[in-house]
Amino acid sequence: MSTNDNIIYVSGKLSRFFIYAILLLATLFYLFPLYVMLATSFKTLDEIRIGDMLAFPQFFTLDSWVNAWGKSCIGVECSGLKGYFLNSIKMALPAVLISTILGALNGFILTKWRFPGHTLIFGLMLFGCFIPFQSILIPMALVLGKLKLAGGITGLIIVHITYGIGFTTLFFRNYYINVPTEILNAAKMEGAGFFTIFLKIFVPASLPIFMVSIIWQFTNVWNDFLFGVSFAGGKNYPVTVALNNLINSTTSGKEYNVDMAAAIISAAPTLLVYVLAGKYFVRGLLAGSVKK
Amino acid sequence: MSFLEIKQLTKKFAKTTVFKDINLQIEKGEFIVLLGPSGCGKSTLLNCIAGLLSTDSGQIMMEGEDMNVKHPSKRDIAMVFQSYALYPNMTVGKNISFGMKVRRIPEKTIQEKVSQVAGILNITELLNRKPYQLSGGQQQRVAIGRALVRDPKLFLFDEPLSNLDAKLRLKMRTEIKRLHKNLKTTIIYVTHDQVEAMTLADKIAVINHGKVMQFASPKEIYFSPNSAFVAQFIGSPPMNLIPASITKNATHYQIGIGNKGKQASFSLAIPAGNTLAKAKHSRLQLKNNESRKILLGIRPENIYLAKNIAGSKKLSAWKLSMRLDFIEPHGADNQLILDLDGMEIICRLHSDILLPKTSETEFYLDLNKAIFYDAESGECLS
Repeated sequence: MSTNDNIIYVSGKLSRFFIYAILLLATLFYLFPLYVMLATSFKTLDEIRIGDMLAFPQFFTLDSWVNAWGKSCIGVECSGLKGYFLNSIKMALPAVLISTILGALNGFILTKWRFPGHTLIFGLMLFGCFIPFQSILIPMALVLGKLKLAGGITGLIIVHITYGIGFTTLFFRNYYINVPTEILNAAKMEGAGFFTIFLKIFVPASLPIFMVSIIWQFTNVWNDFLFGVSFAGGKNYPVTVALNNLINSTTSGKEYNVDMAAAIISAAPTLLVYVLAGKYFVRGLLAGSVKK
Repeated sequence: MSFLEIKQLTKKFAKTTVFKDINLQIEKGEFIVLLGPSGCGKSTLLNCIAGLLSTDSGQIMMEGEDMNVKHPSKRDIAMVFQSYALYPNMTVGKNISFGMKVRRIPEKTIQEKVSQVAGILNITELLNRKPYQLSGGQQQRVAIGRALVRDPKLFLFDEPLSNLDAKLRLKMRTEIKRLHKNLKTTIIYVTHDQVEAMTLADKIAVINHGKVMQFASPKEIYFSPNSAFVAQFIGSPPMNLIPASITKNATHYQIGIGNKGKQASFSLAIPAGNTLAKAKHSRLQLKNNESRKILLGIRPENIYLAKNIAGSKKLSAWKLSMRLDFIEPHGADNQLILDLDGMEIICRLHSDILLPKTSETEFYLDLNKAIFYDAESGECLS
């Protein structure tokens, strides 16, 4: 018996070792581009020209970060990404919050306050999730033009809310469908109305799915390029479009270090959101799939 | 006029009729149990009384007022749900006070009522906990507390004990009964557990396929079930229903059972005079020499071991030889699983009674306590 146990124990240890080795390799492989970006962004242009791409920076400098944020030329304007970064914040915050709140309301209504035709409405919303961005560009541009919102941030916010509602509704609907309807009935019998029940009972009980919806929406809205380049213009571009323009508007040679710093700046908010709230994201996605 | 009157109540979901023409009259202070197998419509009926579901036709009148036009919160009815339906993000105290806050009752009154109810239900030390920190029994108590604090005219309980384990269920059952004894508020209680129904109810409404089969006291339901369904639904183990035929001649009923291997018959004297026993047989409506197929209903405790019965009792006791398959000991009594011509018969004997060793044994069926049902419709003929 004991020898048998030993064999299992040893083989267990061995397989553990391989599992960790493989995971470590995969992690390194995955983090590799990030490392190259970071290392390059801290190097001087001279070092990049002569040096090894993988080498650690010899003369550590923040110049390229300062340039990318406030000095680099985008088109003819030479004030860096900061204005566009602010545009992205102005666009993402309202778009994310409004689409999440609307999604929560929709999910609540579609599961607990049903009306004739609720499955059709939900089906159409789901359908909306799967319409490719490209196919709505022209009709959306026409609508925004009619609304006199073309070229501005407000128009972009409306586009993102419209596109986001399908997903946020799906999230909240799937979450609320697992909340017992008896809770709603109990509150109804105690005299609570629609908004009291929604705000006092359902919203506080759905923090995990709020996190999921916010992270999902924030990532999509912040990272979006196509809507930004199509519906905003000039000074109203979001940071993704500005990044593209920065990299393409080189006067002399390619400044790889500035490009890398700019790319990291543009990506930082979404990375930060994942680092800070990633665990809620996983938790929220799992909620409801496993019985407590 | 009764406290609560349900008249001709009908409920349909799309094309399926859940129940049709339900009539119930409930007096103030009664503990009513709606009992039936799952899917019989009892919970739907409760939800209609609560106002959570609309009805298709018929009336629900409480103290002469039509409830159909009233919003659930205006009916002065409190409900305890099967899943307890506690608000997950609120503490026990907030759960209990939520309804009062919604109705804008002064904070001082709320505090007083919460602590009063918490005292009654013994949950004072739980007031600051969240529902997920409570055991099933504690959650149940909070759910009852939330209903209690409203001091309603009518309590509705929707299978409140079915999520508890057996031991706790027994304890909470006693607590609910004690609560009713002290409060004397009318209660309508839904369950599929006939023991719960028997022990709690002043009156039981047995429901099957959306129909009230019988609405009577537990005693009446047990001793004179008015249909084969009720007979077999109530009682643990249920009543034995033995297919038989009955033929009338001048002075006797001839009851016969068995068709294949074994046949037996018994001659039952038609009682003279206007005794209760005579009235019992009048619904058979048989002419002389006419026969009819019936189900002979007999409770397990009305089957005796033949060797234990003294002469006087034998008069209306039918001696039958049955094969003893096995014995299920239940502590206070033993249940004998018998085989009568391929049919399973259950006999309940007090544990003091010495059990037979041989497999083929003689038993007496006490026909005074037997009830006849029509073999087709299940209608009571006694």
